[in-house]
Amino acid sequence: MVPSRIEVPDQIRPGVGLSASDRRASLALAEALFSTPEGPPPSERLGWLIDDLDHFMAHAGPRARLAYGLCLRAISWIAPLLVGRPGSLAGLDLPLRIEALERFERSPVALAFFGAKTILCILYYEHPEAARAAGVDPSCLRSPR
Amino acid sequence: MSQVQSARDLDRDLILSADTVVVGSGAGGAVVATERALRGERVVVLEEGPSVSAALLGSMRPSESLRHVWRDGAFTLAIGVGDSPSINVTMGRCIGGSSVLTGAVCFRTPDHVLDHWTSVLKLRDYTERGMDRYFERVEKAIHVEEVPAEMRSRSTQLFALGARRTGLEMQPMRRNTRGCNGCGRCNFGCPHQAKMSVDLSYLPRAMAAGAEVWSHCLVQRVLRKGDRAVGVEGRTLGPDGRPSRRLVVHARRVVLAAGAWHTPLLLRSSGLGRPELVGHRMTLHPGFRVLARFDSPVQGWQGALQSGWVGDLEPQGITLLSLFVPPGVLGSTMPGVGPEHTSNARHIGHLAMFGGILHDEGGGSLYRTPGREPLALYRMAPRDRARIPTLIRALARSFFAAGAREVFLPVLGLRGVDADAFARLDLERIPMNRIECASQHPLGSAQMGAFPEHSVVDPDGKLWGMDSLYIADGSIVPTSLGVNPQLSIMAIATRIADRMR
Repeated sequence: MVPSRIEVPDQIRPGVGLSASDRRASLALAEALFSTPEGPPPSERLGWLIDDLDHFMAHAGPRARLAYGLCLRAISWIAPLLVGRPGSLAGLDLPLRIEALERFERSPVALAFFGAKTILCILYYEHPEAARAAGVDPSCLRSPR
Repeated sequence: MSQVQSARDLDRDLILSADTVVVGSGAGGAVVATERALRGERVVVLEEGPSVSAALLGSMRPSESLRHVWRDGAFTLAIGVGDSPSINVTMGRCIGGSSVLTGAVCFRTPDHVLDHWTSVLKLRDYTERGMDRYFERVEKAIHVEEVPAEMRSRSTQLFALGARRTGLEMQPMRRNTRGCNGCGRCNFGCPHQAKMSVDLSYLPRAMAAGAEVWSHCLVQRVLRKGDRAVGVEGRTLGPDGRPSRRLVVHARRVVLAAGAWHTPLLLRSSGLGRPELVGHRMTLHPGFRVLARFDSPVQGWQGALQSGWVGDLEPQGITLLSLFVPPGVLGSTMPGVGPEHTSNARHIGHLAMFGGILHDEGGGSLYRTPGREPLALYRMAPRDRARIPTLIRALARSFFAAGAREVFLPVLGLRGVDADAFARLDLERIPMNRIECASQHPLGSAQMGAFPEHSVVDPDGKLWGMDSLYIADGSIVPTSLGVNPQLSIMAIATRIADRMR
């Protein structure tokens, strides 16, 4: 079952979420990040992840969007250069994308990768199937509802 | 009125009057508001964030708490300057402030810190004996109790075992809880109303005594008449989060308690305080974690989130603290991409975790930006930088002594290392821009002191040179504490409330 999303009655109305290009870049990153030897995660799970990321950014505010956007751009532009393929990250095939990101993670600008990876992981491992694949059953952490 | 009132949907300006207006509803503001309301004063509390009920907090996934209750979804950074790590500084933005999101850890201000305050900084009343009654009052109000050993998670138990084998002794933590069942999600809002955060312990008492508590109120400056503060003004935040209606509270006393991150901005936008002191010398308690993989399951999220600490390294400015994070956050710390990452993540249930903080010198500065949030820079002192390897070694060696197969260090991109590889690792040579560092304790950006030329507020929390303007939050704490500051902030706020004229 896909987790539903809570709305807070007293919250402000959500702002804008991810742009179309940020959605594409986030998907390319997530597809590589969560790949197993069998391939990338099911497309439905990735779709849920990107929708949830969009919801997160719409609620977390402009500075969160700005910070995530900067991380994403740094990754999208620099990582392909690290494998000698100038262009977009999404344009690389999956093995090369993984290699580019591995090199980025060990580079002096690794903080940008860590910023984007952190929020993607927090959301991804809240999906019950992803949590199960990681051997996690945190009944209380998953919220009582 | 005994409920929080929301200014979000007001179709009129919000103009109020009070004896005391308090800006911020966190650990400091809630205490002052309650203490003054109980004395029969008309008190108004203004909070920028929303009101989120404990029941709703408890029903959120961790990431939903991040997006709804944490400031900027926790994307808040103090940028490292020079040879310093950049630090993720997290804080709450809701009724109750960061007290809603703490691990409920309660330390009194350590004696050696109070000794420094009294003997070096000449804050003569801040002795152990002088502060005792304030701590007692707060501890009673928020129900501080020791975490029983049986509530320790297996993660903490394993660290305690290894620590003992390396000559370190774990001590039980004290927390502000009542009826905690150790579900391990304190940092995202307690689902059982067992954490006695100020939205549960103080603000209801304030409102019962007549205080008005408003959400969605952005205070932009202090109103003054000559050298007296006479109120505050700003804007309500409308449904789209943007400044909406005019907000004015006329009051004979103003208390700023917006936290160490925002109180300095409010002073600056009001032209108050000495510019060379306001927003500078901020300490952060830079924090580092080490994860350790064991052969047997650990399931570290089962048990009290924070239940033990090690004080043996305090002479070196280091405090070790138990902690745990949700699986998703654990996943993000697993190095690698693709199959390597997902393979590492399969061991999440076998990971133990412990952390440590530095009792740092004040290297943080806050600057105004065109938006509402500050630009924060942090220059770590050489002394503190040199302590990072010591802290990491203490954590890793304890885990290895407990039988860990490998450890994951707070170094970006570094793979897990076994005991042999760890022994060969030259931690002193790891660049600071690869160090992963976090903070939940910004302090000291508008410090209290005995002399106006060196401090922003006097020992009673009153702004030097200004009548009727007080600060009662983490910004006035004059040095870092080396321990979680919640209880210290509340005790100092109680003292300030007692001594207001």
